[in-house]
Amino acid sequence: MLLSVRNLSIQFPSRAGLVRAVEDVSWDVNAGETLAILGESGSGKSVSASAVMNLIETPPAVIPQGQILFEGHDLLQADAETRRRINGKSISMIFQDPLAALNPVYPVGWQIAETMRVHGIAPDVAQARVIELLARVGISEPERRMKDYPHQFSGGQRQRIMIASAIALKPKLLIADEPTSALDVTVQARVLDLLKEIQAEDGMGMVLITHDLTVVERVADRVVVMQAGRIVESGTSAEVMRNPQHDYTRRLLDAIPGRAGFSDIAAGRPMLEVQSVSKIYGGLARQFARLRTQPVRAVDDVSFTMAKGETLGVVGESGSGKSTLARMILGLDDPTSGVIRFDGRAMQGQSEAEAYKMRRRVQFVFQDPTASLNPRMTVQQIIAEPWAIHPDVLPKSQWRTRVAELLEQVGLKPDHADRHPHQFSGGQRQRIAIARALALKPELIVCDEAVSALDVSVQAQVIDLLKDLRRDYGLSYVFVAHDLALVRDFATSVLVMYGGRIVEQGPVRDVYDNPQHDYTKALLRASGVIPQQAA
Amino acid sequence: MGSFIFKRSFQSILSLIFLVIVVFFLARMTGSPAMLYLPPEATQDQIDAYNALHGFDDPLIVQFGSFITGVFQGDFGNSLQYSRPALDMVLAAFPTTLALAAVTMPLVLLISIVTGALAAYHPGGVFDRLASLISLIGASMPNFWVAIVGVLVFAVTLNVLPTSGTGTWQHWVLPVAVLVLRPAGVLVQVMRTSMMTALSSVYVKAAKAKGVKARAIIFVHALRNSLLPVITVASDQAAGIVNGAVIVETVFGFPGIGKLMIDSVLMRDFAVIQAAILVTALAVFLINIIVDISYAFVDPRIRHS
Amino acid sequence: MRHIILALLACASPALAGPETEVKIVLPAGPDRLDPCEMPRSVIGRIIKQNVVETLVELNYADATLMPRLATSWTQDSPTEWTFKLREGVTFHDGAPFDAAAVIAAMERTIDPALTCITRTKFFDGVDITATAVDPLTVKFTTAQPSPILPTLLAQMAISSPNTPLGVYTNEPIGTGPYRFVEWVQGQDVTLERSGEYWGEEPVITKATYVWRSESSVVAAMVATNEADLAFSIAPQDATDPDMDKVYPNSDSAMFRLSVDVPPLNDIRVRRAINLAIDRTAFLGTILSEEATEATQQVGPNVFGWNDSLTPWEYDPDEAMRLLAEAKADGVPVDTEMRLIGRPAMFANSNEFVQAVGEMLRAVGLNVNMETLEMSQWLEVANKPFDPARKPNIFLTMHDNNSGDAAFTVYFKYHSNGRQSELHNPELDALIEKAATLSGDEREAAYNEVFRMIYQDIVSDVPLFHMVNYMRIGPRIDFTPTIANAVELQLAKLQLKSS
Repeated sequence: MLLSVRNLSIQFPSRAGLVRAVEDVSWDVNAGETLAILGESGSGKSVSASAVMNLIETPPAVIPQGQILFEGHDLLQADAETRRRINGKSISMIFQDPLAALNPVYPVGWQIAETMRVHGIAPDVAQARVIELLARVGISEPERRMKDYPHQFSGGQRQRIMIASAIALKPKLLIADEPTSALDVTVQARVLDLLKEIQAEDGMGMVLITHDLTVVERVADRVVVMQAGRIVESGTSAEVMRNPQHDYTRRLLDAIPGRAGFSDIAAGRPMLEVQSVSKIYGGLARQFARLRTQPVRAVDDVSFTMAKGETLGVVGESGSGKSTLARMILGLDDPTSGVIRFDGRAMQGQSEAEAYKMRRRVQFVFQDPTASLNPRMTVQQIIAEPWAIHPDVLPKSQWRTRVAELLEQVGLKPDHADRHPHQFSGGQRQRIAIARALALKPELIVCDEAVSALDVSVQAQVIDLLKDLRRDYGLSYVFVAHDLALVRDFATSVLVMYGGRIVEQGPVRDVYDNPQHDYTKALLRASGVIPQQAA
Repeated sequence: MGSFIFKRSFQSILSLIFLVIVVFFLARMTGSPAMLYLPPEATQDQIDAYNALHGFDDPLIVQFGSFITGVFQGDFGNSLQYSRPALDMVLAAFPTTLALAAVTMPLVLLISIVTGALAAYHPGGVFDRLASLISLIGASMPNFWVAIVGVLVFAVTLNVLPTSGTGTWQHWVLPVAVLVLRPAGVLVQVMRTSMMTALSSVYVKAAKAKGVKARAIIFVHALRNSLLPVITVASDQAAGIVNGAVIVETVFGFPGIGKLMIDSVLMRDFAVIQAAILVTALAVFLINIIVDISYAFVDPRIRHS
Repeated sequence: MRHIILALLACASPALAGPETEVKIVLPAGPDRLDPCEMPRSVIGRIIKQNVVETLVELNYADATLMPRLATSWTQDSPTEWTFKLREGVTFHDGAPFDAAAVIAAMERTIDPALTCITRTKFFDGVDITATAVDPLTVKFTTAQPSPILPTLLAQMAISSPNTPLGVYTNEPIGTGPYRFVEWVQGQDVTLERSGEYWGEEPVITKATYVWRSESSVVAAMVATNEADLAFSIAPQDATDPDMDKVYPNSDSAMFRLSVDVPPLNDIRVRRAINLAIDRTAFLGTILSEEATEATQQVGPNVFGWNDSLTPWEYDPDEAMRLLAEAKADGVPVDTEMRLIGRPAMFANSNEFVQAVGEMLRAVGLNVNMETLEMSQWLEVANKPFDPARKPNIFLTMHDNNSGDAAFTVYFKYHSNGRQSELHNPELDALIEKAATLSGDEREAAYNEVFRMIYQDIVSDVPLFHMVNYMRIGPRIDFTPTIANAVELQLAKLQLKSS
């Protein structure tokens, strides 16, 4: 038994009273094996791991009971210096967002070497080891790149750098807190593979904290499921995934997208036509100033048609151009070349009056409801704002009632109208954003990663809502996402983008069952889109 | 970096020119200063003669024209009060103020960075509260009062420091101490807040997870990330001192540019006003450029953008 | 505690004022020029007058008589001619001989319109004067108009070396005085040294360093800690040491000028009422020094022509109110708002003074609005042209006449053409013009009458105080200040205490 957490409880005082973040939790992990701690946000999954690393500040937190036994010694009884010596040397941790977890002002080589330096390794020895480590985790040209700064790497590379730092002293245990959540799907797979390799080489134990069941399936030997601070289920990952005992586990598994049937909806006349659209950033102006940067082709010669009633899924990873495309469809950006036509009329070159009218028919839901809802406005004001901008749509006397109706439609209550966004959960805020999008009775809604920031179960609910609205109002959607499983559930046709270009398009059934392009295949494989479950 | 400095310098010079023009016209719109320089019994003829002598009876544009011609020959005109070249007077006074600023600011930065960093490490703790109290007092006390009390206590009662004047390093103790108070008080607070933000960041957590010691967490990891707002506010304070630590100069008899500017304004000594504003504006622009460079130095993300 | 600090700062202690015969003197403000032709300005005269440069005749400030200095005797040959006999055996610091030619050169330099010297603008402007050498030691001055007080005027003219360049200001004064100018470190100090070649008695002080500070408490501290030996002027609240602090009249006289043309101040009852409403003695010893004296005239006893028979106004608010009621009954608009105008820091506690006067005037029912005007705004109110639509002013002024004759005051303050006069009184005008042409007792009588008329018949002012300064003198120096120190400090008069 490498690490054993026994009956651990951790509490945080807050204005609303005592928050029991972790309640009587026990789990353990052996050398060479991977334990997954699975839970949604607020489940307490990270808290117990943080306690292992002495990252919980007590005060203000309280640990009323429990033991953390590492190789038999209770860490909670050890003094600060002992625990400091363990961190980075015997137990290491990597974090979710590698951009935030690396200090932006120091070169990556220095940061990796720091792990070794603080544990007594001589600087020149550490230096040499850094190059080894960078090579090991797959960073090319390590001698040159070790002098670079975190912002000069991609997301996936940064996580590899974190891993390099964490394994520098060959720790016995690695704790990985959501190590792949911030990464693109294909990159995720590779990082997880790397972790498995290292584990196999060094016999390292690993605790993997995640909300993503595909990750659990892929790499975990055993899993504990947490809900509201407690462990509700535990066992080998095969058992738990195939035969969940607890209600919550079952609900989680059900909520996994990509297991429903495909949507087939009769499509009508063309609504959106995109012809040879490109968006190039930089170019002449940049070249004058710097004389070195290449212009960036964010969207490169993209063409497709979308019919009324369709839900067009646009998938791709970061840098694929999908968001840029969404912005152009919304008219927030102009294409450098090419034409976008909505309902037969070109979007660029419209007069202000025409553009104004067109905006009513195309609405949006963005990814981060915290950012897209003005924190100073009440829900009433937020949802009614479109009517303030387009005063001839609805007379002011009817605003209140209509807001109440919309709130009910999206599954909220009319008296929520007088609250402020921060008083709602993430899922609820996204519903508010959807209600706002519906206010003008649009024909097309562009969703840019609208559910990506939500927990799995909440995602499912919101997708259901969107489906209902589609059925009730004949809405069309452009649904931009990086999660193929989600798109599979919801879209009627799919565009796959890579490097600004469309590499594959077609009805969703065709693309998923019979991908043609290599990239599409790699993407599908990496996302582990689970085939339809039998019963 | 070179092109950056060039661009900023160019912008600064444009602003400088604009400033000089504005000051020229604004100052002269207050009318002729003749009555400040002639005895009260002066006759109208004497006043007219004075105005003619100094060109105050010419239209403003004409006066501006001769000023510009003079500038291109390096001549900013003569002080009405001292009959010496205005630029000479300003360049003689400026180094004193500059020296005051050059001694004060490093002290301020040292005190506030160390104190603010340590205070942020245990927010709400004893050191933090003490530091907050002292820094708030420092930031609120009027310079004038502190200076005089300082003289009365240290020079008169305890007799360990001179009252005023320049000369030995002891003459600088009280003036610098007075000048340090408010900027240090303000910056301790800025540093503290900034440091608290940095200490709650993920990379600090990650550093703790690596086993980095507490002191290194503060002074190696968090410090550099906290510096940007401190640099911004510090540059403000420095510009304030450079513009003339007037009170300190007046009380302690340091012949600096602050006092020179105030006296010139009161006596409508146009040439000196213009030259003084030009020189101090130049210094402020330089400070801004230095600040921009230090941003790039502290944060490599700015360097590479 | 003190010992610990001293130990820490052991390397250097604050500098003491030099070896025994050197002194350090603190001025309230630094000089902007050191040109001899600017000598009448106190900030310059206090350094160089009679120390570096001397005058032909010297004014006795006590009784306004004249004493020989560089001239040994003088006679008036005719209304327009004066002859002066010069002292023998005098040389300038640069070796040039002092003779008639030097006097003529000095005078021509002083009245040259190329320079805006105060000696010229204040004393010699409009005086068409030529000087000729009768012999090397005799100078004859001829004026176009009769000049009964030419010697008094010459008491203001510094005799600088004939080598002093014409038409440009010099900052290195060269004269005949007991001290030679050594150097002026801009913004820092001025140093004089005993020349050793003086025609008169060698003074005791060998070297004087002048510094300047504007903050009174610091100045007081400097003398208290022996960093300086003498300070010209400290604020009354800092003058707490009777051993060191000595009072002297500073030749400033404070007064309110009344707008006699503007109702209701055009009614003499109102003007009398204002004088009666102010309790002057209440200020002495409270916010003003108790050594200040009540004034009855714009000039003090040190000025020739001062009328010693006038007595100060009594404080009688009841009478004031009676007069106002009487005036009101006759339709005089006594309720008109009047401007009570002061200037910041005109003298120590002047702001408080104006506030208090305002309250006294309001107490008798007058409608006054207190205002503080910055220097150039104050000058606009002080000098002609006056705004014909102006509100009635009760205007605080300070006037210093330390030149020894009433002529330097009465014209521009009281004549209808005078720059700062709001009066139009033909009788007074005639008297002022006449007095200027008289000399001796007749002159004195005429000016006495001028002041009497102003004080008793016209009541155009509210005379207030003849002000004083506090000089702080350190223990090494033996000196008693007089009104002369308003404009000069003869180092030769400083003695060292043998301790």
